[in-house]
Amino acid sequence: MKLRPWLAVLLASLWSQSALAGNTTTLPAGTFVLDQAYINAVTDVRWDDNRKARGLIEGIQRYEPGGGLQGTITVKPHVLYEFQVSQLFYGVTDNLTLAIGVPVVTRSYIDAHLGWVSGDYQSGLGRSYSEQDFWQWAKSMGQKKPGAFDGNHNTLADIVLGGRYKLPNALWMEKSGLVAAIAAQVALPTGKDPDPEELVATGTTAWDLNNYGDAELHFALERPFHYQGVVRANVGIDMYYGYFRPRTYQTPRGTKNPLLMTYSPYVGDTYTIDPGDLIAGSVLVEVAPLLGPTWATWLAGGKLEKAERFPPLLQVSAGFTYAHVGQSTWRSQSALWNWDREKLFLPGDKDTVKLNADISLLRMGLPLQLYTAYRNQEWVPGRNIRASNSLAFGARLILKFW
Amino acid sequence: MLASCASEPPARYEVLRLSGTPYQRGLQHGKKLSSKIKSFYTTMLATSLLPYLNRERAGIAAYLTSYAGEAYGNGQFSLKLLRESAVELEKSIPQRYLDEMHGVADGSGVPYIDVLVLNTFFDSVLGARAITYFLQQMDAPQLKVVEVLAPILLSDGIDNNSDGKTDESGEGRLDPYQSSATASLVGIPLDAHFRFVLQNPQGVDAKSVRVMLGTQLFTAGSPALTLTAIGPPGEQSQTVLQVDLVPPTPLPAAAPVSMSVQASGIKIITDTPPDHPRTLRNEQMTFGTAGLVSQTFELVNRGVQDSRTQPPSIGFALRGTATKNGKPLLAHHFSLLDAGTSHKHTVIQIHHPESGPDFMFPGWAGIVWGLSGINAQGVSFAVNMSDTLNNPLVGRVKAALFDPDVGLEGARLLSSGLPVGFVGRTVLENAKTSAEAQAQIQAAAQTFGWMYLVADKAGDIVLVETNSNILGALDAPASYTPDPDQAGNTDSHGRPWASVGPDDLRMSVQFRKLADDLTLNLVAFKLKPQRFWTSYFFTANRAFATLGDAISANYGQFDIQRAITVLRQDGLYDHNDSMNAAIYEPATRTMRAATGLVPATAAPFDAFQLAAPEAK
Repeated sequence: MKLRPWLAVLLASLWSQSALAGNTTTLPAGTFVLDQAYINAVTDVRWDDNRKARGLIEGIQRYEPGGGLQGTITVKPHVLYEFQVSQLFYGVTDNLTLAIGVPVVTRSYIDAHLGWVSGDYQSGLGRSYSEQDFWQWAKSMGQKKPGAFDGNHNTLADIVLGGRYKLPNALWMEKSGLVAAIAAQVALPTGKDPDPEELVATGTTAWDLNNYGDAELHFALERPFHYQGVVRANVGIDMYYGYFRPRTYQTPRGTKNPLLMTYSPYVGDTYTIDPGDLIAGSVLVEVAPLLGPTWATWLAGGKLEKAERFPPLLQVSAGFTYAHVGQSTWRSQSALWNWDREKLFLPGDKDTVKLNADISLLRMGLPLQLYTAYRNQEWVPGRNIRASNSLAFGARLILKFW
Repeated sequence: MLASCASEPPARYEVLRLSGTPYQRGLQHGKKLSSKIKSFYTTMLATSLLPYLNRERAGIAAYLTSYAGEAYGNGQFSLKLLRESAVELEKSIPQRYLDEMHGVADGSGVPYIDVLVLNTFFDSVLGARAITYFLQQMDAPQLKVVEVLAPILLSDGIDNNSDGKTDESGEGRLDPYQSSATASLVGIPLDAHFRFVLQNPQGVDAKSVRVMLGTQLFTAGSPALTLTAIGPPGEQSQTVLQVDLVPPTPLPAAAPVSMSVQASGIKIITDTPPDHPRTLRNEQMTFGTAGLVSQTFELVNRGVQDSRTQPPSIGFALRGTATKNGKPLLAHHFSLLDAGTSHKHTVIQIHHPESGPDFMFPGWAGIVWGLSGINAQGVSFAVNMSDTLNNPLVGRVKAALFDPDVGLEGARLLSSGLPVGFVGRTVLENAKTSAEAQAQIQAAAQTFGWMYLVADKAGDIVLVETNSNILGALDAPASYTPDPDQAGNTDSHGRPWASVGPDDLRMSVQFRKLADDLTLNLVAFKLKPQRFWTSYFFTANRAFATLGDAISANYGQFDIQRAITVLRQDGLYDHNDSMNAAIYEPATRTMRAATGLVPATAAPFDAFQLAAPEAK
């Protein structure tokens, strides 16, 4: 099973109690895993069609009617999301695991970093508009300078349900040591849309987070390498398709930003976005460099040989995901308005580097795993996507009632 | 959506082929472009022009107190003003155009009053803008005196100011200084110094003084510049500021010397945000150093291209010896109000009316006219604005002042007459020749200052300058052709008004023949001709001269490509407010339109041709 993006990094390491943090691992039958993680995600950069880093939002040009360019409002938002993610996994059989992930956005913060590039000389003013000039005038027209956004406090995002099924080993797979699994997940529409009237705001839906689909289907193939009965290395691939459903939004009427966001007269009361789907492929390399002390504790039924089959103390992994992102399409009464948005969401790709580290205390008698995961989408330039980097810290409690 | 193919941008422009009655054509227009009409209204008016106009309320209401009323408050001033003006203009619009606009409204779902405003705001706004800009300039520091400090002017044997007298007392002193399309003084020595006297009742801000000599800038603190407050003693001393410039290097020999002066008042205007002082427009003048020319009118006050201004609209008509094949050609580039949105709403309209010739023009969504066009009879026209106070809004204020029941407090800024676009439509629907077009233009009550350039398939070209004739002083609008032998076609020096040869005419946005468009004392206001106050005057003068040079350089070689090259020449197009460009070939009823980009001339010139009338 693979949940994107932040859930994914958690789940990837979750299944490591019986193997490394791969994409084919399932829980032993009757086993529960409770996972709690804190995630901090930052987005500053949008990759354009030429793989050049840009601000997340295009500058807004303002014109003095008959006087040329008044100036450009530059916007370089810094977007911060903080999450608490609770996940529960259950091994229905040794080959089938079901899961539910409940992400809660504890805070979204956007500093728009509004700036100004002066435009043409204005003879009526005797100078070009300065930033102060513009906002002073705009304020008199009811248009306040947008401030930072600080919201979505403890707001539910889209809940994710999923399952992974480890495929029966064919003879050729057994001979080659390969393991395969399929996984599927769906996101329930429990997230919150942003206030349509706000220029600087964000929501908590899968589209706002823009990293895991409303539905995903995965196929993973891995080759674990055992040493003394324990998986000490693993390489694998994961291919998946992510689907985003179309969603309909209220069109801004300009109630809060009359100069900058009066769209409804020509866009219509609502508009629809059909987000571009994802087709992705990942490669993953994992190693367990440190087995750690192994004790015959209660968890192993007092048997050392059983404890020695527990996951190593330290596992690290590195992965790379290439995801092709399809065109996102806007539908409204205005083709012009649609295009102004669509041109920022042309087909492109995300190129994600992931680094994980897990510490498993099972060998020492504690049914607990601690992990950290880092994901970066700026190291490898993407195209027509917003790059989000995240850092996660989490802990898992493994329970079996038998 | 999985598709990996990218969305495509919308077409650069729409093409409408409209047929039937006026209402039917309007209905087709409205149905096809419903979204764009709504978009254009919102982005051009609701969120752009109307908010900007609103800030002028305080300045206008200071004089016309009816606009201080509650009905014009809460940001409603500009919309109410444009609607009232539209309703007034509607009275002069022929029924067939009203029907067409009703069709647009019904087809698009846009209220008729909004369609009417879209089709008339151009005329309404220009009149209001002229008045507010004039009032602002009256409140700004005035350049009262310009003096060339060179004793030799009194003994050089040259009539430096072309007043018919030589070496008279004060020959180097322009007092009062008057803006001019030509040089202010000629024959000045290379070591001349300059003095400017600025005056403002509230005081002139010495720190704001900006003098340019060619491309060299001098500001307060420049060693070459000396600023002296010479007003009455005490607090009033800053009401008159003397600015002396000693050029650090000798002036070029036998060459034009371009200068400009600018300064702001001390008083800060706070009721029309942002806070700002009133600022004198960049007052530009030209001097000729000794040996260049002997008369001021021989030297154009062209100035230098700067980063502060953009070229205005231009147009030119050619025929005979000016073109390679001898056939007529009319080219136009209109710039004024793109505001980041006009170019997205451009439409090529091709009309096939039930009766009369087919015609076509480049226009905009929801607007039933264009500022140039051609009909199947081979008549083409292009029109530019020409800033003037001789407009209906001033006319109404004047009438109100002399009406004891109304007075200044009851005066309204309402336009009247036939909006310029409908004058153009009248020409396209009726004219078979340039002469007929000229007659139709001259018969129309004008809403503002306009310059119409007309060319027909026979090669007749004519330029008509009009204003609203609020004093009744004009028997007819001023018109002229390139023919210097025909009465009225030359200035007082015997030179064609707007031709460099026998077969060309050109225009920018300043009057030539109607240069003295209005002089009127209206209570405390001394209304003056456009050259004294409009912000377009100097840029128009420069563009007119540059265009003249370009036409001269290509004389006899003009074809479509040469015309395009001239329209794309740096210094002849506005980088920000370019709206559309078109070249017409009346003999073949062809229009080549460049539109949908800014500047419009960056777009390809796409060809459209009308069928010959007999083919209809």
